[in-house]
Amino acid sequence: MAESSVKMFVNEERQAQKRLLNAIVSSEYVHRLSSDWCSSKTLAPKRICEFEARGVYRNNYQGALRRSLLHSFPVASRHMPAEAFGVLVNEYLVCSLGNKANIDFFPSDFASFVASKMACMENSWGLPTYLGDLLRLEWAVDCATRGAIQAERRLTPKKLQRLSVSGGILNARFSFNKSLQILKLPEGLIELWRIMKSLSQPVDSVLLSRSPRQVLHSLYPDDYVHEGGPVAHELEQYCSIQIAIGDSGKGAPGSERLALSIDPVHPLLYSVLDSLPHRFSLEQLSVLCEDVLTNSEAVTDAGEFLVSVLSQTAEQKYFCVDADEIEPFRRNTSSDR
Amino acid sequence: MDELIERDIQLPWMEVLADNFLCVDNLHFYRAEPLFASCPLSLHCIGMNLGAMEPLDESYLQSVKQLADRLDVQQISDHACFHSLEGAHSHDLLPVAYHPDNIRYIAERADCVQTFLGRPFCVENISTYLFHRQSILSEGQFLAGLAELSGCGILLDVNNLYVNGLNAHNDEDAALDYALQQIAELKSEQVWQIHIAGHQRTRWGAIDHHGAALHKDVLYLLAEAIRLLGKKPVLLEWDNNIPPLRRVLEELNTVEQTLTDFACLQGEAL
Repeated sequence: MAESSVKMFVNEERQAQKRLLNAIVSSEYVHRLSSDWCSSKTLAPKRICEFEARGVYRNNYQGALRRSLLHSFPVASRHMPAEAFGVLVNEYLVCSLGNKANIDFFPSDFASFVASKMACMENSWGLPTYLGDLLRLEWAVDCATRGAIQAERRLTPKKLQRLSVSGGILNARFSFNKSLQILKLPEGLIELWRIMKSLSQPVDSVLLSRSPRQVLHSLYPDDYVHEGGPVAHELEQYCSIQIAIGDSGKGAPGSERLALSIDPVHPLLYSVLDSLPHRFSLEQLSVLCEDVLTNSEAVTDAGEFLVSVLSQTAEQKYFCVDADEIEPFRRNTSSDR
Repeated sequence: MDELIERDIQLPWMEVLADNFLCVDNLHFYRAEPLFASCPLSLHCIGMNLGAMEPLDESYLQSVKQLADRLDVQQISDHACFHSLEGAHSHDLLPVAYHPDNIRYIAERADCVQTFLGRPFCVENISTYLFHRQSILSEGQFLAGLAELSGCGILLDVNNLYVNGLNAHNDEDAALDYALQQIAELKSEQVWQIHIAGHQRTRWGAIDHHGAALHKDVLYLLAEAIRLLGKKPVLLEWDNNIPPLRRVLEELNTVEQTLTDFACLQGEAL
């Protein structure tokens, strides 16, 4: 008897729950709540009415989704007109309401959504053409921070040694994707360099360099923004880095050096770097190097690449490099401009 | 969080919001891990969907169990509510009917959860702005019935009771009476934890936003709850408009002082 009573209750309650959810998450405003729900059974004056109660839930719901977007795209939201970001968020909300179980993944389609809107938005709002890329990059950072990581792919000093003596990497040039920037290369490479120095057969130089073409682009960032040509291609070039790990000048005074040159990056991407809550570790950088060494230039999409690398890296401890160690590299890159 | 770690502040216990750490092998988790190791933990969830008229999400429970085992938490909790159904998600805690059939329904699910997790499990009362027309029990009767039938505990949120009272009566005295009536329905052994938080008063009632200092009535309710139910672990929630850590710690001191003063008064009265 009790069982059938509960079963009947469940069926009725399921419908009541569906109706309430619909009133909260639907993109169309439901003007009246179903009769299952009431604001209060009391007759207190000025108590909450159904209209206000539904408004609280709808505001909570949409507020949570908006916060999720702001949390995932702090840089993009700061570097575009607030009205433009608001319009994009509103449109995205309408298209996406109620369809993500985990609120953390609500922003997952925002970058492609914005990219699809760029054609009609950029003229009216003056949005940069690379906004879609920037959003993808930020989403990748978010995923990389929260994604699971696996320990078995770490690059140990021994592995590093094997790589360094293989010969194949001397003066090798690898075209890195712009997403690589968020790995905070300066800190990562300092540690990498230190480990290499401690190897029995040290490789005494870790060199990152950039092509003259990239220098040129770094001097004229506005050309990129307003360029009418193959923008995506230009962006790849603009943000790529060349890395060489070699033993040039071994033993000579001052030859052990770490040269970093990552400044052909748009200021917006620097903002991404600055906004990162974490420093990434040697292990992450090492696995990244390994990936790049293994897969040569097979880098396409910023977000996918970053997620594929970072989601497989291990991070057990955090290291911090003193500001004194970071600052010279920042100064160097600034003076290059 | 960073400041707590850096200053090595010792707390008697702490609640971890499970839904923020369901992946235990990511940067976010490792960053918080030193804090997790600093004191006893309770795990608080918002995703079990205990009151929803659909099957429990096994993968979610598996993730919670993994996290609970990793952190070796002492208790786990979630709410007497629903948040989603058939793919539609409100990302909020929505009310259920206070009805005997619903006690049976939710108690069975809470029991399943407790068995699966293998740790003490308690259910928290929510704040609400809507009421189910099928509710024929009071909030307190519903919670007490749930605890009795499931063997789970109650995580009593006195601020939620007060907010519900305000949303039903829009009067502070009436809200206080409402909350006290609900507390009176509970037995000491059923209540395992107490939550307190700030709310925002509106012209029609209150919003439970966890973004302000504690209201004096909430502090009074806490003291009354402890007088009636005995000493319980108390947690201060401050999730929005979070002030500097110093201010949060001051608020904790206020709570402690209030309870001490209240105990002294009781002693004198006795």
